[in-house]
Amino acid sequence: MKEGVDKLGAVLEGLAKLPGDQCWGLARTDHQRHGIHAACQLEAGALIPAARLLLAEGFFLEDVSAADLSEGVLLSYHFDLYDACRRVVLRLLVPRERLTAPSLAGVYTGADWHEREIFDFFGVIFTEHPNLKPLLLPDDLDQRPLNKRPEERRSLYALLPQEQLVRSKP
Amino acid sequence: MGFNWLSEPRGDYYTRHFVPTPEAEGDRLILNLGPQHPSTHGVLRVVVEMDGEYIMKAEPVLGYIHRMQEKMGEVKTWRQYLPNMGRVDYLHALAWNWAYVGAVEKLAGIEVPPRAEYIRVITCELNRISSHLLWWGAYLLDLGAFTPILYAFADRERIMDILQMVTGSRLTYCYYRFGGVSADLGEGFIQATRDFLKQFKTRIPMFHDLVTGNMILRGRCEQIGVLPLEMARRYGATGPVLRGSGLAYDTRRAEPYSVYPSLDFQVPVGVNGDAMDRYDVRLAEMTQSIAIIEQALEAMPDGPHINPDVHERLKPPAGEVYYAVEGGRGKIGVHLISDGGPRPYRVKLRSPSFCNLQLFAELAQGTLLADAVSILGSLDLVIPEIDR
Repeated sequence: MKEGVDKLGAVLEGLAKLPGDQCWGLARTDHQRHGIHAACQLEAGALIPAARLLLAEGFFLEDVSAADLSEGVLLSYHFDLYDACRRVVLRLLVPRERLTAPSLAGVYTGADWHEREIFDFFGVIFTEHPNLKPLLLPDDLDQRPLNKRPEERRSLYALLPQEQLVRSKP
Repeated sequence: MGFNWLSEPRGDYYTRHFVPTPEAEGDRLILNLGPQHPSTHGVLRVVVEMDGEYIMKAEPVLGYIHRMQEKMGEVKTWRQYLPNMGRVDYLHALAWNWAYVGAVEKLAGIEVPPRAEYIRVITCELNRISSHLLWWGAYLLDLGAFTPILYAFADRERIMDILQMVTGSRLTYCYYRFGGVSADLGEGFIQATRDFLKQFKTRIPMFHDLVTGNMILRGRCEQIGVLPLEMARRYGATGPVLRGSGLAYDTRRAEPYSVYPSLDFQVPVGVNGDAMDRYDVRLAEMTQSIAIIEQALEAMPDGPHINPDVHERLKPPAGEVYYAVEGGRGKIGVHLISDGGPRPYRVKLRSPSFCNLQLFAELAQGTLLADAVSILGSLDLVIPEIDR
């Protein structure tokens, strides 16, 4: 178990070293309540360095989740360890005016399909993706089914714990 | 839209956009496996580039039974979404029941009575055995052995009879509720389960005698589809597919939930990571599930089977939660975001087969077409779970 704690600590230290304007709201969270050990809000430029850090510490990609919020589409990359559960989530807020995000498929091969699924459901374009084709929806469908109507969208600040949203170090 | 058959070049979207390997020469053949191929168990299609009998590149095409389960989660209330879970993975429906119910319970802070926890363990493990039995029969059917599936179905039928007593259904169970289960276990259920386990214990050695040592089976499974651990991690593989490669990763142990920490069971692992190891792991897991059920039947306390204080129109507080359980195919994860309203704001379902199938393309590269069928079967895919 100690090993898992060490790896989580090493990842948090590494994330804290990312440039301040690229990484904000790095916080440990209550696993008992949320099922997540640590969360980190990133800017697009820091996503790949952060994922490399997790790969080097032995984390695997569980899944990539997305949600349509009033600020844009929030991508949540869930990572976990095989030897002891230490769930780390990297978050990236993609503005609606420019729905693009860097692809993680170059670091974690398994991100490929998760990103294609998000492309299907939300219309987020992943740059440098090796094969960005529709995965689950028909190729001629021009709707993004999980995008909400403007009046249904909620703010990031109403949904996530405050400590994850402030610029501070853990 | 505006589809014009005459102006379309050959094939559909995925055939037209299939990129052959760079060194491909004129004698390569692009072949469609599925979507109705018998070995794909459901409607999965794989576009493969063949060089003679060898696969140079494989690309699975999904979505034939896509139902947008995640959207349904956003338009139904928390409670109305329960029956959907039995339809995501119909073979291990109770594990999906558990993943969703567990996530909501964590989000809303609902207590589960101890008896309900044991009932969940017993029914979920019975369901795991029936799921593995169906895989066992169907996999051997893929490899050309017809008889085993008849034996597998005879036992699976008995499990379905037992589960029908409490859940009321035979396949797409919807039995777990927020704060417990919908009906208590009666004496009839407990006796039938004990009888079944007693008899089933003698069946597993018979399965081994019948099939496991068979030369043809070994020829089709040993050293076929060897999955290195490093590759499994890159794809996020879980379940028997990962354990076959030698890593004892089981959500029931790694991220303990319910009463699993108090139960004594092993996590079987393979050595080489080939199809044979994945086969062995699943058969060994059935024996472990028997041990779990026996212990749970002994330890199950009296008391209520459901928490009576859960409100009919549940509204969990705003926030997010991630909850994972171990299903027959691997880690089932549910990521929920609530805005405090009567419906989930977002439901994300992490299906284990989705990640496990993804590595098939790399695993099948350079193998014989017939071996690819064996590899596909050894991954134990449930297509509705992948397409959701």
